[in-house]
Amino acid sequence: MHCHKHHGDKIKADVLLVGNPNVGKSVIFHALTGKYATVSNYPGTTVDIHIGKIKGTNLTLVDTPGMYSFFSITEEERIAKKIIIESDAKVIVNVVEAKNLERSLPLTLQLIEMCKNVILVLNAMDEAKKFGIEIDVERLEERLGIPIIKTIAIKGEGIDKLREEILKLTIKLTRSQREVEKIRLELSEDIEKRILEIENKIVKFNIPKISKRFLAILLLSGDQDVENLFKDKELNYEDNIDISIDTNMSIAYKIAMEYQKLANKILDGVIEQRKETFNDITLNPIFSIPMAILALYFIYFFAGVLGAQMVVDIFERYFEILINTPLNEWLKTNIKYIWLRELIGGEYGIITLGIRYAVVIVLPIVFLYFIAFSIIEDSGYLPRLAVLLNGLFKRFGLSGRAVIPLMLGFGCGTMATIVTRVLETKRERMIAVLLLAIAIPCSAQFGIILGISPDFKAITIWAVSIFVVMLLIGSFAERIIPGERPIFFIELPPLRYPSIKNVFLKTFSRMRWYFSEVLPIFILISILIWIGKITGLLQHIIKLLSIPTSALGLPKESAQIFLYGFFRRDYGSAGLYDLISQGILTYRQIIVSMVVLTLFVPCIAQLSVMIKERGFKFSFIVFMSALVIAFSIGFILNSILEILG
Amino acid sequence: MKIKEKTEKLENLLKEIWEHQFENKDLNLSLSELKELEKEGYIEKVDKNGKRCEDNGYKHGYELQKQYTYKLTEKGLKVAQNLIRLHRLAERMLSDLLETSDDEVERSACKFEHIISEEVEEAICTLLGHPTICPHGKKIPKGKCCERGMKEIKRMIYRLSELKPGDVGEVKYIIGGDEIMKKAIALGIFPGKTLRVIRVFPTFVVQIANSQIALDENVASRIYLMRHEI
Repeated sequence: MHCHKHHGDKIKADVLLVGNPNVGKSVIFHALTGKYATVSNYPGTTVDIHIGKIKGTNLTLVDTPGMYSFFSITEEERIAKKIIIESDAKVIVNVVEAKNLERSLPLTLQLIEMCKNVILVLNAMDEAKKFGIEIDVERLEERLGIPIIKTIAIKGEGIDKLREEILKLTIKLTRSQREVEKIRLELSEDIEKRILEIENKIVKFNIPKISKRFLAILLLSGDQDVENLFKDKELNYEDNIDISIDTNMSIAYKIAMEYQKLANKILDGVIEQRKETFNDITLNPIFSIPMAILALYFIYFFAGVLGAQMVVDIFERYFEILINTPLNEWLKTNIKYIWLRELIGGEYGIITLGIRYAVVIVLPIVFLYFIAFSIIEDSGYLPRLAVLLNGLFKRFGLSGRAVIPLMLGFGCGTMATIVTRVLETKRERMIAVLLLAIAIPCSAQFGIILGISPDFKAITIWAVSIFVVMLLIGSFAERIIPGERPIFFIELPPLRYPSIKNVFLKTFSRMRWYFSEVLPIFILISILIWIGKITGLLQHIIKLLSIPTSALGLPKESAQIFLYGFFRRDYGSAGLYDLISQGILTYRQIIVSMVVLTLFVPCIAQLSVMIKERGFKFSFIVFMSALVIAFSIGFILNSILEILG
Repeated sequence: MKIKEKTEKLENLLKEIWEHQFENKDLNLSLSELKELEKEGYIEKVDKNGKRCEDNGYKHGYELQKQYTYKLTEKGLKVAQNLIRLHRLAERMLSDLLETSDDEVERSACKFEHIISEEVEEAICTLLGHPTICPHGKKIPKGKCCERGMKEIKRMIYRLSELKPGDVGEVKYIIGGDEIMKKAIALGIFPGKTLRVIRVFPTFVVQIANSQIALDENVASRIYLMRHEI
């Protein structure tokens, strides 16, 4: 990641949007800011942070990742928490889904406890009405001592009022003493006692502008990040603050439960639900499988057919005519050093290979893939797919959560490898990276494989072989990689129509991030190939590779293809395409090489990202395993096909 | 009456030793009490490595006692373990089914453990769905009925993983690590909440208040509920 420049930086914000995932924060964000938003990653992560100016003001608004509670575990929750603690925001806008007010209120109380200015937004009031929920806003406002705004964000209702309220509070800065006194968020006696103890110990330290009491609560709950705040001050934290937990029941759980109890007390007489809401919505097993196939096909159609086949073809043709050919001619006449010519142009030059790949192949595929992915993501379907696939993924030691990186892997393995960070345990990340490296074809490769497959039978054999290998690798990894089994525990948001504007905004921000990641790698690859050619190293490697390829009964030309496959998996497949059109390969040879190429080592871009994410040793093992697996499966398949004829 | 009091006292001492041995609780027994238990064959002196000390006398005096500790004999272990189990089962029942206050739970459980017969014990354990931890998070030693997985008696407490689609239940307690507990409470699953099972395959999906939550079987098996009669 190229975010070293951010290190140590804090996200600067005047106003923060905070709330559970899928409550409409991003819609409110865009409604408040208009279209101009910059998206950046939180330092060291891939979690998107949206930053913008509130329309007509100079106030910076930051949309934080979805969080359920301060006693958090996921990466997103941690980052949201850190932003809240670190930023000097004047106002926190807490967005909750009106129908889930009861569950969301503890977070609101925790925010109030921090002594920041909080505005509570009850969003999706229309949905709540459908559930027969009525909320006595005035009474709640009085009990909490903070302003409450009702909104229906997707229709833009209530946004103006919210903006007004934000402006009012940014001027006023703090709640009046009288208002603060109104709510006393007292927890149970024994917890209060311990909070006080810790508070007294930290009172002398001058850290963030949040209340000492809340810092004490977080410390008591065993919060690592807050502990680090104190450690950063080079204080002997361990000596100063001793938190011993006397029962097996986690103290964080106890605190969380007490906040829920407080919330229930506050909501008593405020919220009323007339209808019984137990109504099944989706998740019918008969529908879910065809729906999943449809969703996957939808993505495949966008990235694989539209992107990898149609748009890439057109782009490539024009790039060749408009850039490659004129460039090479210009180089020939103007530059007399062959080595320099080869570095810039020729077959593998920085422009003719590096830039071309990034712009011509990756840009259209990834763009279309992201559009399809964002549509599915915004419709609330991904968690449902995770539910469906959880059973299968469990065999691999993964949870349904892994559906996101693995599905991205069908788009681009390099990006998916980075996105494995959304997984909760190191073990899950290792397994997902392994599967991505070996068994999951990227869209470019997949597209070309489909293109070269002589008939439906061949593609079926290919798909079955790859799936079997994936199962084998997955179950093997689940056995040998140590660590705990993942916890799968996820909320299913209601299915919604995605907003096209949101889909495009998301896609553009992802593209921008993606390019800053891959373009330098592509350029580096061209330089490496150039060095390999100049020094003659490439020839040696090709010779070496021809040993296993001939064992598979493949012609010697194919060795070169495998090497290219390393530089770009799809490029290897494209080379295969050439061989087939020359009529060199037999039917059996085509199938075998399709399988071997798919399983073959990850491309150099993915490999470099993998080294960055998981370290050299792990990557080396994966690399060597891929080599061995690809050729041995190829060998087995070749023998089987030979016997069966 | 005298005899009963005496057994009760003895039983409480055995419980303390059990907790010392298995849960690292400090041992606060007097020398004479220890001596008495040793005489009855409930405990024996062991050295640091857990090896039985042959020296039976107390000639080394009180100070030297630090060098060895007491361990339950087979006979003592059987009695003590059963007492611990009864105490914690009673706690579970009082707090889950009868929703008794914490102080009262402790007081009553202390009486219960001495009077529950084996049949009643099994009935309670089965009723509660063979719980594995007490309300304080400590382990409940397994009984015969847990191993048999007895189901003849109508149960009231079930694990979420044992329910079927359409079943409704009230969450009683959740066991498991921090991660599960925190996540559970964030998603609104905590004691006192009613939830309904929507699906059990391929993953558990439950409806709680106005939202739907999916959870894996390894989470579902740690959530204990009182099933509502339909």
